[in-house]
Amino acid sequence: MNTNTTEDGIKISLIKDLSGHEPTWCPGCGNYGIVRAIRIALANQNLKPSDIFVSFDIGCSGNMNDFLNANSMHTLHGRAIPTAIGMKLAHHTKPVLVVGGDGGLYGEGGNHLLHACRGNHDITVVVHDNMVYGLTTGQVAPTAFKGYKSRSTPLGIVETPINILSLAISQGATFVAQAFANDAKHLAEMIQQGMQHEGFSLINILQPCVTFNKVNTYEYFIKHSYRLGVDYDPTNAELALKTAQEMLMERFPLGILYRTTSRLPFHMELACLKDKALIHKDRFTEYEILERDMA
Amino acid sequence: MYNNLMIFSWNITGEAGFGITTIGLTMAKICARHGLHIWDYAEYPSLIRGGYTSFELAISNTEVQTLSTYINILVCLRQDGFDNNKSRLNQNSIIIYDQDEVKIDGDYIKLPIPFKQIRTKHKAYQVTTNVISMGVTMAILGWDLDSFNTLVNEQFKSKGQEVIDYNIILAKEGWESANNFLIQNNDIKSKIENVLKQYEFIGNHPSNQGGNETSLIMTGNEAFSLASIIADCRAYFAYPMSPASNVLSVLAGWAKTSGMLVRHVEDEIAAVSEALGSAYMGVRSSVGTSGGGFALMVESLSYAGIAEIPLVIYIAQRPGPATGLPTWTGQGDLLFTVHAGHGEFPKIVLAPGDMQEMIELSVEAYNLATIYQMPVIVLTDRLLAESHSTVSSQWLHMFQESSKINNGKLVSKTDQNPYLRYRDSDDGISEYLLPGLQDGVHWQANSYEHLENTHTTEDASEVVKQVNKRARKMVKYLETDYKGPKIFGSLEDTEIVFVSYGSNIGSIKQSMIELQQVNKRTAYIHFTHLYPLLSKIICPLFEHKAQYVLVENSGTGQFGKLLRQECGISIDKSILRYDGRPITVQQIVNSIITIK
Repeated sequence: MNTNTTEDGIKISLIKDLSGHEPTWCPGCGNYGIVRAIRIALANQNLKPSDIFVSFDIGCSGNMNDFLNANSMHTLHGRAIPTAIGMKLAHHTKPVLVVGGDGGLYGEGGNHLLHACRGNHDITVVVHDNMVYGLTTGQVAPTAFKGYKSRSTPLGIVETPINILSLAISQGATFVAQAFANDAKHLAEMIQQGMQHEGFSLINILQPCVTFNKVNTYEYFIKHSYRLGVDYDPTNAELALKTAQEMLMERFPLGILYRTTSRLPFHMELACLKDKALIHKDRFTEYEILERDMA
Repeated sequence: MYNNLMIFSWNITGEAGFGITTIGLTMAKICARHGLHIWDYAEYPSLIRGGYTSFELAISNTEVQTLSTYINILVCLRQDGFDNNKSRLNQNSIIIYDQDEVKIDGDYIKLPIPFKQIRTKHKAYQVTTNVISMGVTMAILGWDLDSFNTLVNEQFKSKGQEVIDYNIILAKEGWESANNFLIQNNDIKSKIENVLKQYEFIGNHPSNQGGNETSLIMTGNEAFSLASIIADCRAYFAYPMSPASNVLSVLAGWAKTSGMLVRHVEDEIAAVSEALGSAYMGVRSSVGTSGGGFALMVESLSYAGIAEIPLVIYIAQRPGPATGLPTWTGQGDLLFTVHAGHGEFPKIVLAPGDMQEMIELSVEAYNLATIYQMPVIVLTDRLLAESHSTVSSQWLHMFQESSKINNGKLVSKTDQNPYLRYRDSDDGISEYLLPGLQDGVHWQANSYEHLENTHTTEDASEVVKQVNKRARKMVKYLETDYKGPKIFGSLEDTEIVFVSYGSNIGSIKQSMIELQQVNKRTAYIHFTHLYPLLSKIICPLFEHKAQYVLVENSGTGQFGKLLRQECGISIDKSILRYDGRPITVQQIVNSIITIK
């Protein structure tokens, strides 16, 4: 394999292997930055397409299935998280990513997210948060601010936005970060750290939808976001929750908001996965032990 | 009316939460350990405490899977236990009750036992009445307490000697109390002896019976659980729903030993999604639920269809619509199951009738799901799912020995380059490389229509290619693995042919015997492979000169509709029941006798 690297040490050939078809996203879409960042994060970890597992949701985000080479499931809308959990538990030595949007992962599949946080499943959830539904042509998303006018809410949305960062932290997620689609280098770093974290990691990505969201634009996010400083302590849950609240005032912190190693990931709590991955275990045939209660 | 002497029935009724089912199961085990066959049926409300509960045990010296028309022994711990069962009592019915608590009017063999006094004497809670009544039952049958005491020792081992002794003492009190009463009331004693004389297999001390044949007792839920282990299912995902909940608890209880991954997840959608995730990786996976939970899984069923992921779904039906009757039985979800899923994709539906079929078909379901890379549904109902039946240990062990895991076209290494996961083929089945096992090869399980190489497509000819490929799997299944219905009796020489599926088999087979006694010749076509159906095997079975009668636990005769849809067969007579209760022998026999 050609191991040419860039100045940043990224393996060019591996990036190429990870690149599938030419994307069909709108020119200028934030998704380009996201797929680039994912490839960089994987290449940095020396992971080939056959090494990784991705569960894609449905939407513009999930359409990455054809643009990122990987073992993957292009699942149903809202179901990427539980599908990923099933993949992880069947072969827990493999890294598992979830790629989806705010509609699928916070709306349709919101319940699954809560329980994945509780379980501290060792999967990395990469969420395209553009506050709007792209593939269905411009309806409001659960992350949109109150009053946002869309094709499904022409008079403005009544609800306030879901505060996903504080929600995830309060429900037990052990790694919660936020990044901006325009900064692929920082985003790649967040994804990589999320993948290396043993436990549930959520990376919420602020992503401009150039076609349907004329409010939350690149300029908007640049103006309203800021990097968490070096003195920020991500192990402080109280601080993390407080920082997450800034979202409601249109101030978007970027970086790792919260990280804890105080809990084992789900699969490490299971006795049945101690020795071998489920897929590699020997078949159980000592039926008589189970039949004792039936005699 | 027919007083059937093949089945001896023992029924205990009392309050929910007072160990009615527990003691019933003890009785069932005692019978099974002595070589008798049993079938039980519990009625209980959808609540935890209070309310009427009954547990009935049908005991026989031959296979049994239905209740008898009359109750032989009624342990009546609550007034409505008598009131609710009056129509099934006659002058030969023995009623065990406490005169201070229950009032029994009428001509029965009454055996008053001072349960309350016995409890007071031993400072025992009301919940212990079930144990005392076991002693009484043993005394009536002329059995000693050895078997009971052995079982108590086993069951309460973990609770300590004190609990064991307490139960043994209480049962002994009941046993002595009944025997004392019988000594003082010779007329009742001789009436009981006359009843038992008619049922030789139970009147004799059962320890003399059985021979080398030993048996286990299990419910349909337990049988499916065991079959899942035999079939090397390694992951089970569920959200509890009556009457399938017990599969989850049984498999979870075994998990420490079996090493199976057993997950109680947040909802049925998560259950099926996680199962698809693990199945995609190559781990045999299944889910279990009832109609309402299955409704939530249907979208994912369609995903399993297009992405060609092997998945087994266990459905234990209860009456709907909506929440319906959670703890009762029915077969109203057949057409929903068969037609479940948006879009057109192949699936297989199997329906066991008894415990042996439950084990055989469930193991088959896992193999078929893998071979054909599609969802396979095991469809049962509350009656089979929650009732216990005896299963021969010898048969079971032979079955376990001979069961093979058939992985079809699943491989851990491919020679294809490039690898085409959805490559078109004559039988529609493509090579399935377990993802992540071969360096340098990756593929996606795509819920969008896709090319042979798994990428999304909207190209018309590629769409047709994949739709046809998937459809050919059904053709291949029908040619290779479809099994036609089982025939009981002779279709050539009969007046009546019953047509049915699932747990109705018990009542139908017993009805055939009883109708024979009144010179009605009957036969039975019992379907196990419900969908798809193969006309060329089925149609000839319906060309005989006889009255065909559909028997079904539903209001609309759904299997009849399915036969018409798939094979063009119409059955104009039907015996249906849709009040949550199982179809009985009495219902079938009466219907046939009144058919003109």
